[in-house]
Amino acid sequence: MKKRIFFLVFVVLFLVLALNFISAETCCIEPLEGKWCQDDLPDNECSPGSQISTTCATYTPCKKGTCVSEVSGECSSGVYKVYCESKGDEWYDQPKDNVVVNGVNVCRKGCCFYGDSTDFVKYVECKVIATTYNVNVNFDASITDEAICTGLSSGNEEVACVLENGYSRNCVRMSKQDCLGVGGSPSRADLLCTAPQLATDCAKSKETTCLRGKVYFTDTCGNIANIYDKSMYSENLNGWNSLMKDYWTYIKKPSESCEIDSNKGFSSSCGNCDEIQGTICRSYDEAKQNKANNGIEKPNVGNNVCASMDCYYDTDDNSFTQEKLYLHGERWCAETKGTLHHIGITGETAKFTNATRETLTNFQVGVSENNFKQTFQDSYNDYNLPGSRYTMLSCIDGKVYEDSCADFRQEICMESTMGSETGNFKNAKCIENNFDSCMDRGDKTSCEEDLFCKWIYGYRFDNQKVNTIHDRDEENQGSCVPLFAPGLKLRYSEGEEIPEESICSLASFGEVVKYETAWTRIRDNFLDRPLCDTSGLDKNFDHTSDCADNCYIIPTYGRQEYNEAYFKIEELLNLHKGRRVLGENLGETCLSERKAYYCEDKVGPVIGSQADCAKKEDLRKEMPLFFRHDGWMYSIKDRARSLGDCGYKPGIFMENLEDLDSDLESVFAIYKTIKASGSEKKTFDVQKVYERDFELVEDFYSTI
Amino acid sequence: MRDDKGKKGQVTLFIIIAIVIVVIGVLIFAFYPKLKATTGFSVENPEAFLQDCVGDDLRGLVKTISKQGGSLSPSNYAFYDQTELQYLCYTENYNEAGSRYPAFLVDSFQQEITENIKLTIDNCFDSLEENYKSKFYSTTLRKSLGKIETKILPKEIRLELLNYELTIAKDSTEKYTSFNILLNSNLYELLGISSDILEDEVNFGQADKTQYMMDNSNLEITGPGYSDGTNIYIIKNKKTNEVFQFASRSLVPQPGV
Repeated sequence: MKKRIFFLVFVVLFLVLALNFISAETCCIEPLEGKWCQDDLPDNECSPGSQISTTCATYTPCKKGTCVSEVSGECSSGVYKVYCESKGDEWYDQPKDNVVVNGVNVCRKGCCFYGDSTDFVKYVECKVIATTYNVNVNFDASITDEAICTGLSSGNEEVACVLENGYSRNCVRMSKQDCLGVGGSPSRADLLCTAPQLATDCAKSKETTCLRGKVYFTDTCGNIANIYDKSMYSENLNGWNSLMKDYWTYIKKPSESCEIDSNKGFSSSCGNCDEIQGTICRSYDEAKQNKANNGIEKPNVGNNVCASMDCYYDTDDNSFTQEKLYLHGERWCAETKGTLHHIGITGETAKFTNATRETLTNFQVGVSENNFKQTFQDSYNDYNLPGSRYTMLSCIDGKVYEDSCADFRQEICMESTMGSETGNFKNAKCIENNFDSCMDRGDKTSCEEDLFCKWIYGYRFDNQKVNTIHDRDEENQGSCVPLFAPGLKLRYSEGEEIPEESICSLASFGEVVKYETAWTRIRDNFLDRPLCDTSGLDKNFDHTSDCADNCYIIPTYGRQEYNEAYFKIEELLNLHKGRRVLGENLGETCLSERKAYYCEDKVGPVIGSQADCAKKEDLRKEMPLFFRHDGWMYSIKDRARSLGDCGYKPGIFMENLEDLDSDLESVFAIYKTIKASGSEKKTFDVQKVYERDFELVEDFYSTI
Repeated sequence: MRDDKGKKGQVTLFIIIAIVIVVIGVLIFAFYPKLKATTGFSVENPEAFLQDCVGDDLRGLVKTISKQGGSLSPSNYAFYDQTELQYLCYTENYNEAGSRYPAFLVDSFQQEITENIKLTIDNCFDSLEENYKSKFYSTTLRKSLGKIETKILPKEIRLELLNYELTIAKDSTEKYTSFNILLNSNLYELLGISSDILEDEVNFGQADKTQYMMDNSNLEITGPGYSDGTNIYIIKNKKTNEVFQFASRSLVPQPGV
């Protein structure tokens, strides 16, 4: 029997950016505008004589390293050798921390000794101390711990210094040395200026001041006394007990002072604020401005309080204002438009939570294939949309700060929660959306090992088909794509390098659908023939019945009847293994009736509801990529849209989907008739099948 | 009757005195800046005059340079809030660490001040000389060898005016050869933090502003990140409201593939 075979070619087209090649052949060492070592600058933008014929990357003077100032000893990383040396400074081809000058690790912090004091600073800062205070300094870079350095300080402890002047007996807190220097009498180290035994003019006062974040009493001479404690002051002369008198006599450490009720988070009665716990000294009026201090009372003594550094903030991106409390130091992710909100990570492995991965994973073969559409729509219209950007928020000292992650979703915001004494403490971070290696991963296991990739069953990027005669190879038949679709830069400024190829082009492909029909049947004008004829009346060509290869590309393929529900995947798998389909004749379904679709080297029609030849494994063909048209459609949509700002996806500022270019995602068909020998006989016009979000174009639809 | 008249006269006198006081007060208020310049001049203390004369310009200059990333005329800059912010770390390529320019922030800032305050200082010396002349002193002023050294130090900016020679003579002769002008400023601290941020920019392409704020509770560090990978840093001392801001572009991942 002589047969003719038609070719139906579908091509999915996506935006391909223009190619542009820029090569660098010259290096301008000293451009006129101060940007050193620039490739390929025009001569008029380069200082005379500083243009050389090589790329800057290969020219040693244009290497970046650490520059150490000869004058100030300052250190800076990332400085071009030629620029550093042009200023007479020293350049080192090593990281800043490893630079040693005259045996001193000048770029690291160390202990700076001056007089009896110490400071944990960089070498250069130690030299500044010498200049500022006109003192001799010693720098010890081997001391790398701030606490050790501070502990080595011996003489800067302040004492009450009594200064007698005729009838007055003043007192000022200063170092013992300074006290002796001004002719004063230094007291015992543990005494305050208000100590009765010193009999100074300085008296207890109800004034307070802020010092290093805590509230301190001051005496009438303005000296700092102990930490403010409401119970340690009385306006009633008879109200002073021994404990209170003691408190104004001896210096108390913060650990010996009052404590703030951690449940309250602020205090107007105790000045022992602790920034780590989220409290800091503020004036009462200032404190009241932060909602986190609601209910704080005006202090009876002084005007300073331990204010909460926490914040109230409405993170929800909706119209309801519902502010939540965030602790000082907490970080969390903002609910910016078009991003996936609150991406959680779990445990020490720092993997995304299952909920995150599930939300962003759409097409999977098997059960989810049957209920795919809803998930898909939700995910692609809501998350990682063109123009969206992840943002991190943080609460610092009563104020919420926004920190945008890198644009084009090069970074995403991840958050975790830790249990703490005061409840759950949120932490967040912008992390690199490290999707670069996804496309190189050729199997599901290695793909999903990567935090930032996901596996989509369907086409492989190398176009191989690896399904077996037994089942679809879910492990290897598919593409590894970014879990968080990255953004694409679509506008380039003049002179900017344009990528050779857009990532979206990876989603384009062509596929050949073969038809087999008998010469006795009417097969001309196949453009007008129905996609699926389930009436059984028309014995001439119809697309689904006469399909012999890659049939899933034909709209309606895999349906029980035209316009009715699709067959279950399990049933179609059975059909390809030669078993019957729910008692129905294939001619009454939108399935292929050609043995060639199920078995190798077979021709002719399938009779009834099963392809008997496929029962024999040696005759059976490999399982097709998809059993149904909708599976193919969703898989290629998912793959294209996961790759980036590709396909038919709304931007965050787009209110109406109809505004999107209808050709962002398109499927075209080219019909060809071929001779039995395989050579081309006739090619028909290109016809658009799908546009927009896989909407059948009207012309094509009329053929159904 | 005489007593009454006397009392009335007294009242009138008091009213006149009150009016005169009010008028003087108004005049002081209206011409305060000029009067201040005059009262700031003390024959014995020419340095105080210079401090007074240079102070405002110096403060304004420091403020402008600080707002523009340490440069009065930024050469390679990003726009923020209609201001040109010098890139202190920059590369135009993707995935490449930026290079520092200028290499040293404090040095460069000092140089900018030195270069741009010279005219003000010269004018103030002229003005100082005029003040002496108006008080019938004979003066000799030599500015040609004058040299300005700017030092940005913790808590202050110090201008050391070297080799400016001022000789004044009336009953005796006094010669002044060095002058210091001080400006209270926490710029040193802001530049120190900026240098640390720039180190992070070179090594990681960004700095953790939140962490810097946690470690330095007196500072507020804000600023947007632009789509092209430029990071703007605005470092503000919460107490003094001093601000230093700059731009950086380093290790920017390339969008797409």
